[in-house]
Amino acid sequence: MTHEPAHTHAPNPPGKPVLELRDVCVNLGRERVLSDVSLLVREGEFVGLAGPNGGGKSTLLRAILGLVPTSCGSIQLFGVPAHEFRDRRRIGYVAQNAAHVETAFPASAEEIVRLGRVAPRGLLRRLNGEDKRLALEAMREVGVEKLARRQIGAMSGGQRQRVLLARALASRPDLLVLDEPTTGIDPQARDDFTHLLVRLNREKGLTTLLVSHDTDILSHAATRLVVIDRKVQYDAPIDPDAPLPGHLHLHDPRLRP
Amino acid sequence: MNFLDILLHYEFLQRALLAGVLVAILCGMLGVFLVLRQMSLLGDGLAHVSFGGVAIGLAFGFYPIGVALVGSVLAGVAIYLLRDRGIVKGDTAIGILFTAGLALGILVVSATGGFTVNANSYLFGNILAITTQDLQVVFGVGLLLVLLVYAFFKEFFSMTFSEEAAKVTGLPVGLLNVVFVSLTAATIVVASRIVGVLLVSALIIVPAATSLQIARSFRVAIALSVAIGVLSVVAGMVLAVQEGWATGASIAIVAIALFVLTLAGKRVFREPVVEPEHPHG
Repeated sequence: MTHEPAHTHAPNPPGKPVLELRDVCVNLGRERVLSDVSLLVREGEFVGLAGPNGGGKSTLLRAILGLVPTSCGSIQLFGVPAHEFRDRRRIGYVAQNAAHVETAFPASAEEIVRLGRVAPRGLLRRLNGEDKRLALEAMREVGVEKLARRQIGAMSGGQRQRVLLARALASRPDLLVLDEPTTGIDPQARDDFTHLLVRLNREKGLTTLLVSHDTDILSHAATRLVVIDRKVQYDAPIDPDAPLPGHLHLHDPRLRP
Repeated sequence: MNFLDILLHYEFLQRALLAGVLVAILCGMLGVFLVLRQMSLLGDGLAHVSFGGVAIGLAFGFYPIGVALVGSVLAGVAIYLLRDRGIVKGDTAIGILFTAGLALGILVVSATGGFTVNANSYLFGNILAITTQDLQVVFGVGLLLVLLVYAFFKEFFSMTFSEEAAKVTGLPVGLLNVVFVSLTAATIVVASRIVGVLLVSALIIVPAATSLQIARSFRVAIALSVAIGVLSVVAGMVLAVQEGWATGASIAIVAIALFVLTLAGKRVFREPVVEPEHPHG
């Protein structure tokens, strides 16, 4: 079952579908982790994916990104079946635990952000001036341009997370996907990061899909909340005037469909 | 006569030095990727497979380096597939292929009349005693491999930082891994002619590990690793020629000495690395 966002919060007119899941199920080993997941994300939306640990929210993200196979149903990215989708630069991805990068890894912030240009540039081609310009632009966007020469391991968790966001933005994506991006970073850095995501979505119109168990971020940043526990348990727009409770619980009556 | 006089007199030594430097460049580059991807053991494992290939070549009259090249590349790809398909874990896959190569080599050697001087030179490496044909192969293959690593440099860097993120951005990670493992296998075969199967890690792992102690950017890490490898080969060969020491062992000792010196230097010149949480604003 697909829940459309209420028209009061959806972009007006409603944007084109960016991501469409129909009756998707995923098995990990012999266990069915997700079943009958249907979801439609339109241009300009900021969808927060929440749910209990082991409920399959990260697995759903990995299925969308093509990192785990689905065993039934279909996934469409920008109107194209996921297995035929080739224009990968349109998806920017910030992985879980990205803030815990091996601190000894010998790479400067600039080198890491430029990695976002590697696939768009193509095999056997060197990164050119345009790639370097786009990388610098992405660093400015997230406010890490002054850290360009600093080693990734010598940064705070919050700074590192911004660098990894800049890498995802360097390919100029139309969909930003983040998996628990604020785990392990301090509250101030977390708030800054949340504001950054909100700005990218509201001002630049960047469609965002964010997995988090942090209701604070979800209620401040997302325009729509989807709760996953093996199935879609709840899917509705977030009312900015009635923020979510501090400790969103799956069995909270407010989350009953 | 000092080393320079000897070098000017003997053309074989000039070629040996050139091949040695080329191999050091190659190992220095690949070593950084292998160490960071926690695949250093792959080099060691493939070196033993390469020994099996050499033994088969010697026993049946095929060109030993050729058999070793084909065998190691196939074994490397097999290791990758066993790991990637989730059949066994990476280190187990290396363990299986590595023992298979070594056992096959020893079996062939024992069945055809025991260790010969030739097999010994493959185990311990002696670039000063190898044939002109070997030297040409080492040089030719080495040059090709350096060019290939350079060609796929940005992709290998991306996969080393995060294979998953590289895959999401659309890089053909499976194909690139096969290319990477094949390049590593070919490098091991070529490098073992210089330092021998048993000391091949001296050129793959040690310069990279030394460089990673101090490098703060990827470009610097690669450059330093290459420089340390080249220095080890040149200094090792000078010592070997002047003092009459074994080449492979001399090169390995120089590389390890540089590693120890770097560690010591790092302790003396240690500086804080922790940054304040919010310098921006």
